[in-house]
Amino acid sequence: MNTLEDRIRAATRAIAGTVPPDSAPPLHLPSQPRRLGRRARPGRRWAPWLTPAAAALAVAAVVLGSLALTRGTRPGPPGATGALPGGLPRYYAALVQEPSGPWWAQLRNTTTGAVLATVRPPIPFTRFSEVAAGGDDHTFVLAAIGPQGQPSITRLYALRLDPATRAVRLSPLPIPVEPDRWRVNGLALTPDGTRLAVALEPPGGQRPRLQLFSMATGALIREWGVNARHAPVVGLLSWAPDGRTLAWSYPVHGNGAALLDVTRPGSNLLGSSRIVQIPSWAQLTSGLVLADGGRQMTGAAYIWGGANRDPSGWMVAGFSARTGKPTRVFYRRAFRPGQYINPGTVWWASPSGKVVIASPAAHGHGYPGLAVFTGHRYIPLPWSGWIREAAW
Amino acid sequence: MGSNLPPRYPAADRAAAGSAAAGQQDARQAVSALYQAHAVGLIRLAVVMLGDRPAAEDVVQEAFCGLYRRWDQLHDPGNAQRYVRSAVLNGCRSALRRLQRETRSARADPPPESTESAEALALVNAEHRAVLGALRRLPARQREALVLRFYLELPEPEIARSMGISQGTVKSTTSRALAALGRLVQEVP
Repeated sequence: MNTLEDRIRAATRAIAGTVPPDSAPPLHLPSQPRRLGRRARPGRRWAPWLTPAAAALAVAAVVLGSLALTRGTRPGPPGATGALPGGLPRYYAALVQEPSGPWWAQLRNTTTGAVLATVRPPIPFTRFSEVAAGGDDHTFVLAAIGPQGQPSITRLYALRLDPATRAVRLSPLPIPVEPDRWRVNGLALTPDGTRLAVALEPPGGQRPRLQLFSMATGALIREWGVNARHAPVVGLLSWAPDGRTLAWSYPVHGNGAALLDVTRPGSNLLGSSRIVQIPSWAQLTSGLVLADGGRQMTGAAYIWGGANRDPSGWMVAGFSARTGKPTRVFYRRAFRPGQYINPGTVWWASPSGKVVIASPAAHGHGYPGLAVFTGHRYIPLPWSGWIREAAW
Repeated sequence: MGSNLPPRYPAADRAAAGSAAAGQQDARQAVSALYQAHAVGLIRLAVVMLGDRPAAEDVVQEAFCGLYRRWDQLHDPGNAQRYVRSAVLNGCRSALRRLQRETRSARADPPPESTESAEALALVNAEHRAVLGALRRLPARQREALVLRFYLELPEPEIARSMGISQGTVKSTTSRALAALGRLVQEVP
């Protein structure tokens, strides 16, 4: 089957192929590599005292700019004030890659950012690709893939932290994953930690699958399939607090999520799911996290307000799982047209849907930080720029 | 020296890394060796992103000049290839933003569906032109996510690192980009 993905591969390779081998023009390097020490920097025009002055001005500008921008934020301006709300998960698991380092998983403290444990993928696996969290804040599931240079295989592991002793244990789960280049594209552990949803992406042209396994026995409980033409990517999974409804991404015909009632009969993923569209002016930049008994879908979205192809802002919001309309705005930030925006991600929402942990959008190419949003307050948390995925 | 590098690095990289260890005076030689080994691949990447060969060559040239200027800051020369690829992608983003600003200031609305040169387009068939035309109409971030995923075949964590976003956002961006591209491909006659 000639999927859209295959067509992209073919087209991009075709246009790339118009650049013949050995056709690169000669490299023209500057006469001297620039030394980055202060004295050796050529062409420096600033007086030394200007640097601290400029830094102070920049800080003042950022503060004033934030205040100005957040005047439009409802229901309250974000401010790094106040105590953290209760009920936050104490720990999270993060997938980390430091420069030139291997792919690690780390267990971290939510409020202090302290690293409790660092875990490497067991041999022969080379990296962890996915992570999911249970509702108890100290049980996690990791997908490890490898070995390098061969058709990759995936194995699932449980990562458990004993909160009393701080001992950490990584143990293989008895859950089989499709071999031969099938890729785990999403994991979600039910809040009670008894079942694991696994989204699988086939190597090409086959039907993506969603499987539900028992964590205790590894037995396959349910399986759904969907035609690749209708849903080329199944992922971004999130359970409702009752462990009955599972949200998965559904971008093909719009902008929203599909809500699957896992107790309903049927193996057609689309047929068994209810599609909820988000208004087109809000283009999601993260998966939707279910909360408030499955009534609220919490996510991050670009705000599109003009005729041009740039977003005018970014927000963290709760959307109605019935209508898709925003019901609660936790954070909103405006951007200038043409400004490069690094979109953020919603990682966790409290069962009530009133507290959110998210990485807010950032200007430029910088990696976003981390904060708790309550709608009235914005409380930054420690974060590492090397974290690529996290689960609470 | 070279033997410290993983075997996946080609000989030119090992030579480049070895040169780095020999001292900064060899930076020119090391960067030149990397350029010899990777310039065409990076120009191709920039052509896929920008659709314009001269602009692509400029971006790659600038990326290698940047690498040369910062060579003494490179902790691990084995990462030079990754560094320069990131620099090329950054350069492409800047070039696309420049193009977008110029398009706006010229009040040319909507933006051009394809910026590929006529010469390049003549070498690809109608099916590929339709896909490339649709790709050009995507927002820059979505285009970048699809190029990294389906042209470079990078794994999601690597895409996340290249784009400075989370894996979840990579998934979301890729997913929506595919959806948008599917719609656009149908619109292209």
